Amino acid sequence: LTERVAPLALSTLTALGIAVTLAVLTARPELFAAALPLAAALASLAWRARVAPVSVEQRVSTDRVFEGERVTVEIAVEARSGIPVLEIAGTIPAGALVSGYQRRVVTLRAGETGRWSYALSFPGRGVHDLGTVRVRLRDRFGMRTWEDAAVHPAVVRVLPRIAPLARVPRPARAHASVGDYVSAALGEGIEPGDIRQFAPGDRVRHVNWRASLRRGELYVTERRRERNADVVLMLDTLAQVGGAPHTTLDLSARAAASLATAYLARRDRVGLISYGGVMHWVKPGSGRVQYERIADALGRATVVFTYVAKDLALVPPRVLPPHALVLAITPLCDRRFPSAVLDLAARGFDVVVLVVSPVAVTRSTLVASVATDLACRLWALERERQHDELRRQGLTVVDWRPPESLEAALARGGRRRLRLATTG
Amino acid sequence: MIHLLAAGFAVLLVAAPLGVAPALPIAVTALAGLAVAAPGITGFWRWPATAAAGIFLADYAAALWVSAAPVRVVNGAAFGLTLCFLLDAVDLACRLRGATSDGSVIRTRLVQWGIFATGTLLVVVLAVSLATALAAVLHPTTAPLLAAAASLGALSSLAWLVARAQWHRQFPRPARRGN
Repeated sequence: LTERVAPLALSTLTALGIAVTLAVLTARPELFAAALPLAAALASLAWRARVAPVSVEQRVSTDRVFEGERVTVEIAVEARSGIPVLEIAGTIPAGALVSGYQRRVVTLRAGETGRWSYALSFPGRGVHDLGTVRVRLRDRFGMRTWEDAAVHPAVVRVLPRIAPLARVPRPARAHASVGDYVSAALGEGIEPGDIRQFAPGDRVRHVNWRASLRRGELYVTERRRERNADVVLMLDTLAQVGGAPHTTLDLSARAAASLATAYLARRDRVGLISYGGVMHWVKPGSGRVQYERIADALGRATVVFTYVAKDLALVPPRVLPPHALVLAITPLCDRRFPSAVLDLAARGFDVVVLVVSPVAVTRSTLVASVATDLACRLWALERERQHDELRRQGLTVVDWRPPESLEAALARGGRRRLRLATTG
Repeated sequence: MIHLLAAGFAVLLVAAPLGVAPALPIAVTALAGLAVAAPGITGFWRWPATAAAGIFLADYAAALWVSAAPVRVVNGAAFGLTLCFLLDAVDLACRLRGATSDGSVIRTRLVQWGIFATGTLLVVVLAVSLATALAAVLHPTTAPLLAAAASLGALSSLAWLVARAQWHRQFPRPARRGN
């Protein structure tokens, strides 16, 4: 416990000084008498009061939520000795919204426990530590306080919101693992492909009995191979515009989470590369655990400014497998990102650039005026020229202008229409 | 609730000088003090309340000086107590701002104020009785000597309190080990 002299002591000392000065000037004993309670209260500072520390317990309802969801924090404080005034304050992370009160002031007797709860909702993604509870005890006269911080690990991960996507860009190349892409080649699968005469070595369960009865000889059904693909989401963390929680990076993270969910549902292997001042990556994988890894990385993604252009050659091949579909999600605010994307395209990767338009995001933070409107229109024209430049280089560019839905943007596609694969 | 208490103390501090000397300048000064105290009470701000305490004291001193009323030490002590409670109530209001609380905090505070007021007034009454008895015995010429001794005693006590607090801060007593 850290002991401090309370601001009330300074107020009391000021009043005491004025009372004594006036008493001397006017030579009235009433003013000395008026100074007496103030002096008595101040004299309590010389008392060596003993304060037993309080025990604090905190419980957080969940450690993982999506943007906009609520977390309930319950705090219980037990006093070992009587406390005249006890202030307890839970943590409010930056940007979180509080329902109820995160502070409580109570009087506790020895052995008594005070409990209360409050709810936090997080409009934006991130990783927040709610583990610190600050406690301030006040003495009988209010002249002295003791402060302490009880730290219990309570990390809450706020994951980007997911928008359901019925259609996603279809990878140009798939590989032999089982997935949802129906191949033109015949082999093991579910989708019927062709019917041919029975040959030695064919399995009996592939016999098409209807065709066999009609023709009077055995026929088998051949099926199309089902494949999956590697998809790498490349997130631009070099720059962002707009105010939290609606920055271009927040929107990009939401888009990446939605795309990752859609591809993982198709049994594709999905990976993530955060391309910025500090590069992070998640090796491609599939399943629920992979979603958790990607969502966690997206929750932590942040812009780290650097003058150094990162070389994608540093990324290990197992993170960026050959023939993978690379979905680059970017506001195109930094010239280094298009260069990296063009480098990938030159290396033979199938690249789709999803451009999160910063124009609409910036416009929403500005006061509407003719000048703002004109500047935004000029900016949009300049960006259109930038998109055309990328298209000329052979890239597929999808322009996403929030608040338009991601699905609508994907359906609209670029000038070169997207190959869209339907989920389900 | 705590605002009402603070406002009540401020009204008592306005009324006290007017009770001593009901004059227009005294009333104007008292109302000025109330006007300064108002933002402190409603806006959860300690310093307007401290400034208002200074104005109330000046007003009370002026009322005593103008009226040349007979000495009433207990009234003075009651005025000091009200001042003390006003500052405490505003401080508590600041602490309760933006926080949830139950009635126990204010109830406990009222009980503690009651005990403090009773103790202080008892001490003052005893001191006045003792001083009256001594005044009958001692010669008036010893009064300056007594005043000087009292001042010295007050200063020494203050110095001792400060030194003791400083000593405790520098050399805290080691915490006892639990069994």
